[in-house]
Amino acid sequence: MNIDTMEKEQEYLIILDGELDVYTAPELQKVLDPIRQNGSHDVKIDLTNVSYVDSTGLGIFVGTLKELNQHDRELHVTGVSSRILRLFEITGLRDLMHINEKSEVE
Amino acid sequence: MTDIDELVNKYRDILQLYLYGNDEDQAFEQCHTFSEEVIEMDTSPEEIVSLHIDLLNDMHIEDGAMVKKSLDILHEVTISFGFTYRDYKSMMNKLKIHDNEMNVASSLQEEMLKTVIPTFETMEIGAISVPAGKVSGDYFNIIDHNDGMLSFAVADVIGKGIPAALAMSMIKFGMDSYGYSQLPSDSLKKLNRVVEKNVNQNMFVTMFYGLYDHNTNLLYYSSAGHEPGLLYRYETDEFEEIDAKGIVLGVKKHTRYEQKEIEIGNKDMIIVFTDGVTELRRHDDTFINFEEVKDMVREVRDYHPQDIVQYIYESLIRTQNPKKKDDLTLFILKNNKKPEN
Repeated sequence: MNIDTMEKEQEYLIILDGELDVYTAPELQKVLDPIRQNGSHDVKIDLTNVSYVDSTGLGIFVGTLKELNQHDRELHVTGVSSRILRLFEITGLRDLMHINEKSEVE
Repeated sequence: MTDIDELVNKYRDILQLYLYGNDEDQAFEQCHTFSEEVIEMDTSPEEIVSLHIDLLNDMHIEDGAMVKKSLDILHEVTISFGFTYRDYKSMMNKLKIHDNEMNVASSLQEEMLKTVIPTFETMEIGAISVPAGKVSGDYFNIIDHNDGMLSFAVADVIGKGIPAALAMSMIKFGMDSYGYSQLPSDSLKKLNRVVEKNVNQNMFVTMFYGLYDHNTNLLYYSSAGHEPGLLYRYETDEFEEIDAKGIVLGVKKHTRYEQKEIEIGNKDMIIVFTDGVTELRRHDDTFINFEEVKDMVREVRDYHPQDIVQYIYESLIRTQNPKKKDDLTLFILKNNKKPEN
């Protein structure tokens, strides 16, 4: 999986490319850890080029959401395909974070 | 100049200094920095011995006494390897003890979490749960309330290691200890509070919770973000999705779970599973078409549920990409009550 991180004024935009699963989740975790702990920015994760997210991948969104909320920061997930959207819907996580089908990738 | 060339030169200088110079102490001191460097570079002791032999040839050191003297340097350099090796040994020993303790803990947990499948005259139950690795994240539990009511739950614990294992035990003891025939929505609400206390941020649990009353043939069910289950209607040979709204356990402190009820006809089957079934990857990495699983159920619908789950499991592992395995759990409850005339 390829991870691109861009720091904007109030948020980090993280663009993923590949599959987010039990094998690749640790890479994303490593990128997110300092951002989560610091809590000075909102986080936007773009999934336009992500074909598959498994439950370990979802776990990263859950952990990020919890930690950002402690700092009054928000988590946005963009470019969500219908298959991945179904996952956010079934798990009820759609109601807790900002999920958007629109892509952030130009 | 490569790192290797640099090492060769350094070793040559040390030998030179020790054999022909006049400061043996300084030579020994240089040995220590040298050995630190070679260990850093993952050089092996036998490579150092070869280097020593090569240099003896190269420097034309043939006199027995001088060769013998040169061995002091070789000895000094390899001492550090001895230290590293002893550190390694002691770490391996600690790791071994740690591994043993983990093995004891995991078999203890396996024993504790074992679910006995009860037998009844009026219904048949089949369940299978196979971990992808050593420790499973899937879990199912069946509780016979001995009053015509039966609770069952199928769960997927997301998160690894000890926190996940503890959460699983907490769920079991939570389920077992919450009084008689408690309603699924209440059970999930309580279990959510238990899991929510867990410290691991990334961890959560999905769970399908059912309460089946086989006096009235009614199934009450709730879901905490779990894959929707299926109800197979024997008479019409159709599947209905059984799903209720609710968020996964362990994410939100205060939350409610929707509860629904549905009547189960004779020979109908309640089928609940984890995403190891729905998200199964084939050899070519594509996802399984879930209609295939439904067709398998149809094929063997007259079997005992235990044979049905076994049949489906065996068919699934044949198509599964072994590199992308996930824990897989399948639970089937078949109503076997003859209709009253």
